[in-house]
Amino acid sequence: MKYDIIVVGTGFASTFFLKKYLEKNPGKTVLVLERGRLFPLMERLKIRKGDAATSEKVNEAYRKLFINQHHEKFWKFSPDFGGSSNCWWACTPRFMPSDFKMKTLYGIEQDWPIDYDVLDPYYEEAEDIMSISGPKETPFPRKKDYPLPPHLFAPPDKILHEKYGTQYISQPTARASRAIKGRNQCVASSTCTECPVNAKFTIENSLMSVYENPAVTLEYNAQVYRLTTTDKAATKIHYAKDNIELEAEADYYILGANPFFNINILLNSGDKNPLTGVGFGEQLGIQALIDLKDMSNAGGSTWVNANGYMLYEGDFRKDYAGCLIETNNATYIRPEEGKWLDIMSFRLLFEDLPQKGNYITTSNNKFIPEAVFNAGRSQYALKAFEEAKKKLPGILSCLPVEQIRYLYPHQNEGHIIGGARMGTSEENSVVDKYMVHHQYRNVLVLGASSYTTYSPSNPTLTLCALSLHTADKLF
Amino acid sequence: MLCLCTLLTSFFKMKRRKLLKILGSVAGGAILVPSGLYLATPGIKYFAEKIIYRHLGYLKLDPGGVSQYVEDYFKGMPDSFANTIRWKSYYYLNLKTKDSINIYQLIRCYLLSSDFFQYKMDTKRTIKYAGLYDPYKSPVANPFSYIYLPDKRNI
Repeated sequence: MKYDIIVVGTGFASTFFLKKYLEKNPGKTVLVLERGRLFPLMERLKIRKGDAATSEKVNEAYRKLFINQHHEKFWKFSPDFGGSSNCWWACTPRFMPSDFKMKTLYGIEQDWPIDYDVLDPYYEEAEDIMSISGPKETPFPRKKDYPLPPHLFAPPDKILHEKYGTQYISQPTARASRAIKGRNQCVASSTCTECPVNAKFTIENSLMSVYENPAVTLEYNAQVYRLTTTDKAATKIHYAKDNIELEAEADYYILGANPFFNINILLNSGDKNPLTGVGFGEQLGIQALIDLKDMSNAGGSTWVNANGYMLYEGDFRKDYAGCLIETNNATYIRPEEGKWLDIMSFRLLFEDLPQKGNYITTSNNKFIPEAVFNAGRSQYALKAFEEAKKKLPGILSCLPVEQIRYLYPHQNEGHIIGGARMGTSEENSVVDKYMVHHQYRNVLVLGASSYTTYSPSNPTLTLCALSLHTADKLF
Repeated sequence: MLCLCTLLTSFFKMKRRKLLKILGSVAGGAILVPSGLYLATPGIKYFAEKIIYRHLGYLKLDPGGVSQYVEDYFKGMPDSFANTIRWKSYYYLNLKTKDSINIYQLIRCYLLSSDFFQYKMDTKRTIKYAGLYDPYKSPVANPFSYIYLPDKRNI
């Protein structure tokens, strides 16, 4: 049987694409190849709490699925049904319009072949699907209110919001501020990986209907490793299921896995574009702990109370990276008399740049890619951290700050970005503005693989919007 | 996705040089003190308890609870020579929570493992151990959360 489309993976990119595709194309046949299995939240919670009769660690299986020689930098994802919606922390700010225009505005890297205004309606649609909680006013333009009201500020957040307005807002998030559509209200337990109250959006709790559509055949434990290709198209997809090698055919092949596996499939399929796999990475994340004098930080109603944009935009991005501030609601208590909760913690998220020395490649095992991070962090990002240290005391001058302490860069932000960047031609990119492969015109490479540049902002909402846009415009 | 321990460990790595200096002093001191004395003295749990009382002397702590907490906290950690020296050094050098991640984590985890936050940080009552802190199991997963404030606002 030849399908209309074959989709690889069931994470955000695939599922948002499929949702729109099925709405627009009833009656089309779809095969979905998911490498993992359905690992329900309740089962993962049992394991997390030590109640299950298994020694399996939650979300640890991914470590064996790719090669990483750089132990100081690790990359985290969930290889089961729903992909990283299982383990994400549900931060959903939009990109700023400037993030799509880094070359034009700052002379950095290259512009995306798509801009904010084109994506705006798809951002809105993705926000509706995820029932995002967020404030009325944001630093990026929006045409209507978020589906759910914003989360609560803690006292220092209120002061910062009063001073900075839309530059310091309650974080737009898929952690529900009200019970909605089977999800409960977030209680700020700061245990988002497996949400104990099922408050964050996941594919499992909100979009199972996509896979229950009778047009969809979903195969679990189906591990895709290559496509058969001609000069201009793919003709077959190859996968293994229960140690049996299988193949299938379709008019279109939609790669919706994470960058490691999308790139592995492309390279195993004969993709010779020298940019394929090159320039993957993620934001540089550094925690700042801010001791406050006689001011409690208790009272926020979710994991990240707020986003600060005071270090995000400006001409300085010609020289160093923009930074998104996440005000974390983590258990950094102060073990000092009377000061237990008088502390804020900022996660500073610095944009990084795609670098040639950071790339994804194949290995001797056709199923297992290798992540090479030889170039490490760019000076563009590292300089931004040094500049942030100079600026932060002034930015926080409206608060009774006793001291600011910086932790070492976090080893992982949970964002794997790039490797099949989007652009205008094969000379500068791997896919076009619809995420169609420049050479194989019936192959789409969805998700953060396609990002031209990284942005300081969390990537998930944008990749969902891109999937909706592609499904809407191409099919 | 945040691993608090990883982040904190990284922070305290910044202070490793300082700690090495301190431990260097300890090693120097050890030359002057018969090594047998170290081996004969109590293990890490003994010193951990003393460190807890020293840091939280302003609170009324339930002694049985502190002992049980220390038992649970160090479960699986051998009373090796190196561990004993480490915790003994922390105690005798009077290190603070900002000097050592191990001390910081011991004190932080004790407070989170007790009913201290459950009773709104009431320093007049005796603090009781409530079970080793695990945000998925503990009555107060995150004391910063709005749900533990006495004046819960409308949401």
